[in-house]
Amino acid sequence: MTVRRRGVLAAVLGVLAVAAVAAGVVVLTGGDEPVAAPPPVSTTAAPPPLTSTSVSPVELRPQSSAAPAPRVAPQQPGTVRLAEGGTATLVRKEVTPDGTLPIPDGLDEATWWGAELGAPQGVALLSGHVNWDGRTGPFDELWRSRAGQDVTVVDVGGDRWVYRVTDVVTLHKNDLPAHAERLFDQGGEHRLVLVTCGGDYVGGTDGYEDNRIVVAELVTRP
Amino acid sequence: MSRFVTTLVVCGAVLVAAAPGVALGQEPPDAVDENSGPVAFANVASMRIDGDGQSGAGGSVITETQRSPLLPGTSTLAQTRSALPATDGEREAAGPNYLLGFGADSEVPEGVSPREHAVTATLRDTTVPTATAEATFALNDLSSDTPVVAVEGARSTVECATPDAPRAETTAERLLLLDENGELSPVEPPSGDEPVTRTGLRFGAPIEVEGADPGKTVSDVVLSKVSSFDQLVRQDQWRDGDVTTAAGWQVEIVSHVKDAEGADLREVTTRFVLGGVSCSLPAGFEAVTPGGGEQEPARPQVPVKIPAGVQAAPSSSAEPLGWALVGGGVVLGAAALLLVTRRRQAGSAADDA
Repeated sequence: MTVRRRGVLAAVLGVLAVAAVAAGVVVLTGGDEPVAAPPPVSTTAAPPPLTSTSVSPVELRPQSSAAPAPRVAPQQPGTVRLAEGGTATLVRKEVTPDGTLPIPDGLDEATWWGAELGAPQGVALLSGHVNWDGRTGPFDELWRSRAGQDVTVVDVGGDRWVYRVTDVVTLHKNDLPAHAERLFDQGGEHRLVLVTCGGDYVGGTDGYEDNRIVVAELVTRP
Repeated sequence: MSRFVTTLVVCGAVLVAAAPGVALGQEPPDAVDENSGPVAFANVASMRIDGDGQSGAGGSVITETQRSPLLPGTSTLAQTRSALPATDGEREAAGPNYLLGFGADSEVPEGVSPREHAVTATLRDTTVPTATAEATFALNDLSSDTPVVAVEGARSTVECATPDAPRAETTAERLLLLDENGELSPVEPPSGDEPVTRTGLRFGAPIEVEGADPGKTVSDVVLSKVSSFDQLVRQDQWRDGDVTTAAGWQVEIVSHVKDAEGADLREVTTRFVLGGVSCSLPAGFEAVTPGGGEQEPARPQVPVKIPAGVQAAPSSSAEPLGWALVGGGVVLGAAALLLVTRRRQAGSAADDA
């Protein structure tokens, strides 16, 4: 092999080496990218105002012994069915000391936190993964939610509670703490709030950089 | 006819159990125990009708009751509640005749100034529970357009700082009661447990009684101070504790309903509790010292982080490929370096030749 040919071959091997190492780094650092990530979305500066009728953190409801119309008492939710048919079994979770709401692994289950269905006050919060291990989850459809759609929640007794979407909000996760008290208020008007993730994928513990938040009001109770 | 609807609403829904008693000098707890920890309740007004066993009698209305939060803070009654009864359901339970006003816009007798109420239940930084109810009350019999009682500047307050010295106080700036002339006239506040009583007053019961003659029906009014927890008209969730004290005003009305001939038809007892408050402590309770230790950041009461995004499998399938590419790159790089080195050596040899 001539000196000239050795030089050409060394250059080619060098380029290939750089390319291979770069590709390996990309694969190793970018391997968590979901197969079907939701589309990037613009982040709103602030969610639209939500009605809140009470600032009292704790209050016992007024009680009268001659309530005219029997109503089903508030119930624990069992499963949720979203507008496009996505369903998940709901699992009660509590907030960790740092304010994180745990979400069950996988796509079959979603978190329920806060008020019960039909509660006189407070938000019932449901949250599920947008995708998991390369598969798209039922809560992915929150990215296509719009006002007027119905969300059905079946309680643990089998009765159906229908909520209607009133607001859809996208928040950068860094902005969520500033709005969490109002969005998930337990002393205000009863609402159903559904949350998932999306936007740009940033990895780490955040995963996606945004939260998709869908607010619904109760329209039909058992 | 009745069905109780009672729901306890808890802000935050993060109910972290803490020791019922908190030792002096310890760091403040995240939250007091919901079921046995220090707690205070405050209610602006409630009422109960006790019949004499006949059908149609009996009923109660309890307005929103404030409960002290599980973390230090205050729960306050909104000003939108200014009367009892206030809804059709409450009117069905309370009857159509009585109206108790206690808001800034309530109708009050001449010479009495309406004012905003202040009804609060507080858990202090020390975890000491307190409750206060301040309001001006005016009770009217709508069927006879008669003012029955007015309590101007009523104030009831409780504080449970230690198990051996809970404090309760019930005061009023002025008390006015219906007299035999059909007018409201001032009365001296009750002294101690002695009530103020007026009998044979010309007004009727809160509920309609068939065959009743308003001209013959009379009522007795007893005004006293609440001295025990059992005197309060409460929701089921309004609890006591190992140590409990209560305060408030109580108005008891016994209506002697008669027909046109003056014969007794029935007797209806109506009891109002105005500004009912209570506080309770577990046995062995000790207040904490604020700032006695290094304060931890406040625990969020609602979710502030919701990681509902993708979660990679524990071992990604792409990982071996990545390492193979890096390894291959290193090998190729080494080969390139080797060729460069040999090329330079060959070049040097040619130059030497």
